[in-house]
Amino acid sequence: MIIGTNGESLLKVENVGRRFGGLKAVDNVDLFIRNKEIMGLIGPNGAGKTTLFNLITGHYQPTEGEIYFNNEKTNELKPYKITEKGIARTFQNIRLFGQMSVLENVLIGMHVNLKGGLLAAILRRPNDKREETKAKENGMELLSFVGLEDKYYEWASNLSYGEQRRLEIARALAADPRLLLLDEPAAGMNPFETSSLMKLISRIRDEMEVTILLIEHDMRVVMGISEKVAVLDHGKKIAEGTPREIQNNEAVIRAYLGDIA
Amino acid sequence: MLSAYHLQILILIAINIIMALSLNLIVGYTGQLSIGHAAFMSLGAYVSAVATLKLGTPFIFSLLLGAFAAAIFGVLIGLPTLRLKGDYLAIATLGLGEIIRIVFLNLKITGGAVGLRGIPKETTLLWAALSALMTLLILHRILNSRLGRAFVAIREDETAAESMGINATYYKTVAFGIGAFFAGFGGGLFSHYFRYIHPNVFGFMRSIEHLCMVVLGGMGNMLGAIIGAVALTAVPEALRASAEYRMLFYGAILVIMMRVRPEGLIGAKKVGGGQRNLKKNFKLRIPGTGKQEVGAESRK
Repeated sequence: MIIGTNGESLLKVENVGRRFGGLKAVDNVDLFIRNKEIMGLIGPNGAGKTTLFNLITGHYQPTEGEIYFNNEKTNELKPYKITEKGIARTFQNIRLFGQMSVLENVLIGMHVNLKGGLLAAILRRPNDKREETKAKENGMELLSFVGLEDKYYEWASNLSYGEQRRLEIARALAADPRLLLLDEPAAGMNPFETSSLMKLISRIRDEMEVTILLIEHDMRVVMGISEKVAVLDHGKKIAEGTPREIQNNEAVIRAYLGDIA
Repeated sequence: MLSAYHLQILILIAINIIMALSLNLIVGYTGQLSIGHAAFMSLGAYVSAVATLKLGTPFIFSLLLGAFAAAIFGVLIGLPTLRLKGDYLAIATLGLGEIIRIVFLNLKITGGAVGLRGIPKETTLLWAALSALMTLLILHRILNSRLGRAFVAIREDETAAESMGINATYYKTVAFGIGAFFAGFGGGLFSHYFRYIHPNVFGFMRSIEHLCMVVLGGMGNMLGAIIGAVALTAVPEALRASAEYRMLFYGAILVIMMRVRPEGLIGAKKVGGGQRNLKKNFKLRIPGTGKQEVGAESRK
């Protein structure tokens, strides 16, 4: 099922490499993601997938190559600037703000879309109050979207594991991104939670028109919802294609040595 | 009528509340370890005093001048140093405190090693109490806003905060600036009460006192900072006889609190209020149902 391809690449990763001393964590990787596409990124542990994410979000700078988002070069941009441009992410090991409520976590995610600064905080003029109220309403809607609206007041650290993963997604969506990077969103989920997650990701693309790049080890998820899959091994891209093509690819099978679920 | 002695204690408590609250913003809420807070107090004290003495400005103007001077300094220093983390930042703030002290020790206009005397006694209990109240109200508003959320996010997880679009260095600098502003204001109140100030009054030990108040009461907790300020102003006065042991006392408090109850007497307050408070304080429309949940009591 190929949806939403209008020929334009939203994210262009061109010949990107990243060295750490003598180690090439990412080596000459090309990646082109089209608007509203869902692309999967797979590969054995240590292949460089999260490093690639970190390069795209600005946590590391590429030592080689260029990254373009929306035709704008992002190599030199800091992470907060890249979020402003429209890329949001979740983390491999959940990084919620534990000492804040569920709703507050989402409100922080909304930071780039709100304006209130020092003056607004102190004066609380009608416009400022309006923005805060609207923010809370939008936050609740997002929580509703991921099925957490009943827990809006809970401390984030009190949620169950699966709920925390969903909260991270809601928080990332609060930034109103055009590209969403999901780092192993299904990790640790049971089959029921996993199929809910797959439906959620599809809804995010269909209803919110967000482009998605996801790292996953759970092949059911990757093959089930991705239109295209790229495979990394030892920092290099060894294959790219539709899920079916990847599943039958010799190099991929060899790289995993039978780890495919 | 209050005796002059009790009046002094009350005024000192009010000033220390301002110091503790302002430091709490930096240390407790934004998670930046600052052990040079007295430098901001010093700037406020001296700038306001010089303004009153040499420029003849009205009291409130002097106070504000002192506060803004401290804030500007806080921002200027913040920009380069706030890229440092943890211990390195702490040492940098310690250095800053010493630099300010030594600068004032050598300037003619501030009296140098002799100190600055003859400052008009403008600070009354009313001034001090109202200032403390204003500080509390303003900081409360700041902390329950988009700005406050950014501060706590930085404390909780700076990397994740950056991923949310929060420019950590910028917001840390803002926190420093705001904290410095109120500390400077407190310094102005201080100099216009005691009428005589000397750079060594605002040394490293003073910074540690402020830190102690925040740690004792509970970092990231406004009520805690207030309680810490009250406790650590009133108790040493009661123990006047053992004045030399004061620093020993402060050191012991820091060690004991860290060992026994690091979250402070009150404990770190979680942003957004407790579970109960959140439900109570929210007036929310539940999406899709059109119902309005005017946070009554918690239904748990």
